[in-house]
Amino acid sequence: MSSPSIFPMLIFIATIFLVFKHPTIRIPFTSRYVHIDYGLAPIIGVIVLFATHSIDGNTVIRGILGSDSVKPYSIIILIMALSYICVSLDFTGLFEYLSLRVVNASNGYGKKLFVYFFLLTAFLTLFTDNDIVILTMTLIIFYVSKNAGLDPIPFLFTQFFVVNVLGMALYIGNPTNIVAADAYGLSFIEFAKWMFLPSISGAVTCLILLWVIFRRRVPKKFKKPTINPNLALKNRDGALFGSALLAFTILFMSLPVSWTGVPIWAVTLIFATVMAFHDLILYRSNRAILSRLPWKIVPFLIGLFIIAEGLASTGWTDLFASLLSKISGNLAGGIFGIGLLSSIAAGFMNNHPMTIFFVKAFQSPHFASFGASKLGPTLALVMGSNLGANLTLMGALAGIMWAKILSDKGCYISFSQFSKYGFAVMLPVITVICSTLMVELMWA
Amino acid sequence: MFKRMTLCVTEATPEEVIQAAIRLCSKDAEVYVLHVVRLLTDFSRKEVSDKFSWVMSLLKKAGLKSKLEIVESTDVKKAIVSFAKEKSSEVIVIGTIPRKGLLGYFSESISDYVVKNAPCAVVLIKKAGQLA
Repeated sequence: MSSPSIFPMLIFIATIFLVFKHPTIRIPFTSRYVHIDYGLAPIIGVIVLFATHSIDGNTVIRGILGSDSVKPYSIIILIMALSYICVSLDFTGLFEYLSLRVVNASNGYGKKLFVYFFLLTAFLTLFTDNDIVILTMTLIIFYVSKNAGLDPIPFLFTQFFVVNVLGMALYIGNPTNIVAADAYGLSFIEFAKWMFLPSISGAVTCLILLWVIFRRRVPKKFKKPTINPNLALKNRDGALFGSALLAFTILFMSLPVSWTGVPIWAVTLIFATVMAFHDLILYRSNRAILSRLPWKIVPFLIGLFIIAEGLASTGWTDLFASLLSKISGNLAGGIFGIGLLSSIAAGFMNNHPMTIFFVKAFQSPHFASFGASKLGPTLALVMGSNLGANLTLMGALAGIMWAKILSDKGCYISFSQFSKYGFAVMLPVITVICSTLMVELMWA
Repeated sequence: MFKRMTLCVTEATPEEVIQAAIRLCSKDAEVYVLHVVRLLTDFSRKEVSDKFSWVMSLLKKAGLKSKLEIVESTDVKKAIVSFAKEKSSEVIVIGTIPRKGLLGYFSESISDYVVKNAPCAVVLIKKAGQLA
């Protein structure tokens, strides 16, 4: 294999750096500024690659329409449609209402509050958008801590870690799950069949370890703030309708495509359209909801898919596939090796680019894994793409957003403090999840 | 001295910011005390009113005409700039916490954005010795 051109790899690295740094640059000879955020950075990367003839028009088209089983456009439609349903549900105030109910249910007992917050985060993260769960829970934890004189750190770390551990349980838990599952051709049910048990075992391990670490910082009793959860509910009918619609969406997604005859992205799009019409009737305008959607994820993912296509066409993914083959020559290597490597890679280069790059490598003819099956490495990759977010604040876009919200509220969590807890808790969690995956695959 | 001010407050705003804002106001100034929330509900209205009652007391004590404004947005920095435009504010006063380390390097500061995009004067106030 000849050595590939270094230029596309440099652009890939520069793009990841810009995603993290998101600088604001003054446009020369004007007084205007342009913010190179995570939506714009990959597009700039694509423009540079195209302008320097490192990629051609066909690579760009393949990056959008997909090659093999990964169809970027369908992944993006699915993510945005599901986001619409979750954002609309959040807009009714339901998640804040549930969080406040949990505070009341704890009855002023610290241990109960710790466990109840864990359970509520677990429940919400299984069925809704991770970012919304993080935002809602962070604000409520802050409110309760301030009013009850609690140390917010144990509760904040618990909700952040649990969101990412249980995000791997279902196909819809994280956009990276969809990318990896589609590449292997895993359906909603097949995905849950393999990933549900490992993520539950990981979540229980995570809870135990977090309790051991933070138990002295959670008081036995605290002064429960007087809260009326009903005040947080903006629209009761909207909350009921949205909950039912989300339940039906998940139910239909779990049905085999051979039964429904409709691909999973189209199912989600239909339900999101119903929700949008309902919002139009309820609020007369759904602009407020549309403005809350993560629109920047569209150019972000398209740009990354195109850059990954560029890396594939210049031989980088083949080279990486050969290296990965060396560690996934047996089942343990395919699970533990890929799992640990993808977790650490996600922690330092963000989980989206990591997943797309690894998936491209798995599709390379140079990738060989134990028993010629890519299932083990794919499941390990799903785990890595979720747990990398708990190793460093750079592991997922939500990490820096979370730390910044806390910092704006006067609660500073440094990168090193986060990673100290992240590595201490996640290394045992990774071991438990990989062991569970191995047992599942050995018995299958 | 300014006659129409937008004073941005968060849970981290120290008294120094409010005192400095008071010193910047003319006697007949109108001060909009702005707090941005993710969801505007009866719960958040009550919570914000309770949380910033100390700010309103300080402004009242200084004899200034002030109003607590709660704005719903998921983008705090854009909400501040839009609000200042809408109210034709002459100045935006905002506290700032210089962040050190990697978080400082990788996170975008709200005050930076406001300075670059505000339609009026912007005063940044850092509490002495404050470093996140």
